Amino acid sequence: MEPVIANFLVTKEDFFQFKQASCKAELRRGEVIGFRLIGLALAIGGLTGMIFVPWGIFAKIGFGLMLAVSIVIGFYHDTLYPYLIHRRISGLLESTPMTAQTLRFEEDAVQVSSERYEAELPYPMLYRVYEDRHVFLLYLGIGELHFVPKRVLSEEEQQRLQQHLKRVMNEKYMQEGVR
Amino acid sequence: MELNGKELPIVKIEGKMNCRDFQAGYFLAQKNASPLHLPKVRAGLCLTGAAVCASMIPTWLAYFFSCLAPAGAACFFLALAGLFGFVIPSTVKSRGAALFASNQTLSLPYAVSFFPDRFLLENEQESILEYWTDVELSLENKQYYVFKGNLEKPLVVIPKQGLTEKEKRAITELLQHRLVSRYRRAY
Repeated sequence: MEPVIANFLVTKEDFFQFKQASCKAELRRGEVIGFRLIGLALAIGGLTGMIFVPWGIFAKIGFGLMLAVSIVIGFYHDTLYPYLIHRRISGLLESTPMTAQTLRFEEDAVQVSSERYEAELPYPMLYRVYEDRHVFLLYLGIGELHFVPKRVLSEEEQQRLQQHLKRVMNEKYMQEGVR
Repeated sequence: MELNGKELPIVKIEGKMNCRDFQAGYFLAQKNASPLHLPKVRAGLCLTGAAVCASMIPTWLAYFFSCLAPAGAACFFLALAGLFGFVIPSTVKSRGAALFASNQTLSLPYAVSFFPDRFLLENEQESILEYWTDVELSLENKQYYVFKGNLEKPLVVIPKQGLTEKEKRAITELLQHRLVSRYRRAY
């Protein structure tokens, strides 16, 4: 394979998208379904209570609160979760230096080079690779990863890299929304 | 100190990490994140709560027929003490083992060079430079040095096994002087 080279200076936007993608990558499908089911159960309970239980105003308020909580829990990963990630990343942005990096994807290994980090990582050594709309994440292990913003690669390079990573990583290659 | 224009490290050590060492280092870093993260402190607080609830039983019985509420609360706190004292520490250790198993570079033989302003961690595949200013917390106990919150490697565990007394003393002095309040002795 002709090497794909990503040479870039990390911007705040890149860092933000990288952290967002890594949070999404860690999200388990079962967890999302669990939250949805709990939300649904609470919503049914709240609605049933509001319509059929003939108690006073305080009971109505209680069931109304239950309904509100059900919406928060059921749609947690669509509403509150992105907001919490946003807040956490905003806190990290100021303390993290934005440095220049070069990642060179060869046939058998990826070379990573920055001011403080030099590595040649054979693909079997990677824990997994995750791709979303904005970045490729290369996991060295749980919680330790490098990233490539897609903005620094042309359409053709992105496709070549995607095909290559799919081939060398097999089941360790994941795409957003596909498990 | 320089040799042929190249800065010499204060100490250079070599070693190889195993799962047990990393697990212990990870557990050390987690439990020493703050005093409230220490399992003994959490379990102690819960046991105190249990004792307070249990001590309320005689007074409670003077006003009510059943001591179910304070006894239930005491049992709840006892269960929490068990959770914080035994269950969570073992979960954290398992997490450490999972981290080690997921990252193949951790089991490679390594060399660490300590300089006045930084340390350099090298293995067969990587070369990582971390400045002391970026280290969030450094911990030391009888068996390990742990550096947490670094920019490139989130957690660096260095077993003391195989180090000479002179090397240990030099590293400890360096950490004490460079990290000051971010350096802690841990148990």
